[in-house]
Amino acid sequence: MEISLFSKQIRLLLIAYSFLPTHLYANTAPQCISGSSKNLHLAGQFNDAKKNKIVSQILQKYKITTPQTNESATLADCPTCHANAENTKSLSDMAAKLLPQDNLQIDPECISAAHKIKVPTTYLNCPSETRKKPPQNECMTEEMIKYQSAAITEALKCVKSETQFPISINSIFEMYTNESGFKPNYSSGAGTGLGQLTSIFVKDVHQKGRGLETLKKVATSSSSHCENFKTIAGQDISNKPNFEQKCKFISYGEGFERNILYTLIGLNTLWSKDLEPVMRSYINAHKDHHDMRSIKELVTLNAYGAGGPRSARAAAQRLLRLKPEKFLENLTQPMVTTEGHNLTRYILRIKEKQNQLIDLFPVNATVNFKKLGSSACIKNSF
Amino acid sequence: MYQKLVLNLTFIFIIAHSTALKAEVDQSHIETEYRKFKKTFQSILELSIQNKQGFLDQFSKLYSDLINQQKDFEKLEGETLTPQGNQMAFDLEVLRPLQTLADNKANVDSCQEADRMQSFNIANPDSETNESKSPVSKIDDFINKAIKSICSK
Repeated sequence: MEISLFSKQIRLLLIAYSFLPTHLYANTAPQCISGSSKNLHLAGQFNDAKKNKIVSQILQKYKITTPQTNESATLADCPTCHANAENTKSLSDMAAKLLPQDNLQIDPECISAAHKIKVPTTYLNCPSETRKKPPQNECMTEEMIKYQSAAITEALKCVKSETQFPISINSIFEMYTNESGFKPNYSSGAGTGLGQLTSIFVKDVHQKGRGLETLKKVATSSSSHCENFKTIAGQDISNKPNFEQKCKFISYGEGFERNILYTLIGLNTLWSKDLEPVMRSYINAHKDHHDMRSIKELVTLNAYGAGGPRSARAAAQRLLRLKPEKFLENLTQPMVTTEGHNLTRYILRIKEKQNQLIDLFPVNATVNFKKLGSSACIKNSF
Repeated sequence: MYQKLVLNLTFIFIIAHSTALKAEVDQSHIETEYRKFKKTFQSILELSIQNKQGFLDQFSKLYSDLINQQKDFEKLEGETLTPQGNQMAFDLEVLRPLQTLADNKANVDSCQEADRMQSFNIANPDSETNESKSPVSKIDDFINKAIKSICSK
């Protein structure tokens, strides 16, 4: 009697379950690589953004997931369309196999570790732009972390295809680790998003004779890597984004990607307009020296941090009389002034963050960060 | 044998003493040259900004004095990087917006460029040294006022 009552209850439950809309149970709770599964706002925002053209194309190009498009949602309501959809899917799978696929340049394991770095200030929920106080441990899924790696890789390849961009991907990894710990919605009073952009920095990207030239190059680029970023660049040239609307520099689907693009264009401007002129004859004199690449990278990164271009230029100007190996050695040491400024503070801060990162890798990590530093995080460097 | 040893020790003592003496002399030279630079720097901050052309002419002269003083200082330094030399390089960068104005007779483009540079400088405070109370913030105030005054005329 009891058994039959129990089985009746189960049957009722099963019937009720079958009437539930599929999306309520088909999508199980996301698996958080880092952060808490109770804090799903960012993961939800990313999931919504997968319908966005930029996000879906990058996900597809880097073989991260099958993009969830509006088209597939419509097909679900149309059983007779399934046969055609299957054919289309197999054709696109074939195309994906035949076309060259891009690889993630930054190991997701490293981004995941960097995400564990605690940052002290507030976070923004998008699109509402409501502020949240720490501690915030937003859930980051494997897909989100891989997407971050893909978007950075793609943007860097795009900017490199149009400029003499001086910074390698491992230094970019170090910089984002320092700026936000790869938390796209981290927003301090002055800095916003992944690259902690400031209003003056964004203004510089749009300024004639400064970053605008590069923004225009991206907007009209024929490089396949600029395919997604040229959309952002093109629309921003005709309608400059308002920096007060922070989500335009945070949200997945345009804001997060804009943040990366602007970081890279801004860095390129700092190098080409502020630093390269100071160093031009030195570079020509030592162009074949093996340390020149690292010198250019660090000098440019130094201008990105607190202290800005004037500290970076002062440091570079001081070191020009030294041989490249000594230049590089001193650039990674404190260069203190009599009034208490440290001309290389940002470089040292980046190194400190990299040291903190060592302990944030899991015991079973495949990346040998302790031994190799950020270069262990880079795969298929270009 | 004993005499030779005493002679050698005396020689070593004289060499060591003269090296130490030279270092002391160099250090005192460094301080003197640094003070000279700072005096010139200070006289820029005391220039009147009421007369645009007068300010730019006097600034140009003093700025080239600073450049020459820095060059002389770096010769004294050799390959050593002293905090005084670092400060001088930083001070010259702090004045760069005004140098841009002076080099271009404060035309429209140089006014925009000086304004941009200065905005960047102010937007990147050195938070560890509590910039709002540091000497550089007072200098930045002076530079702001100078740019506004010169470019608004």
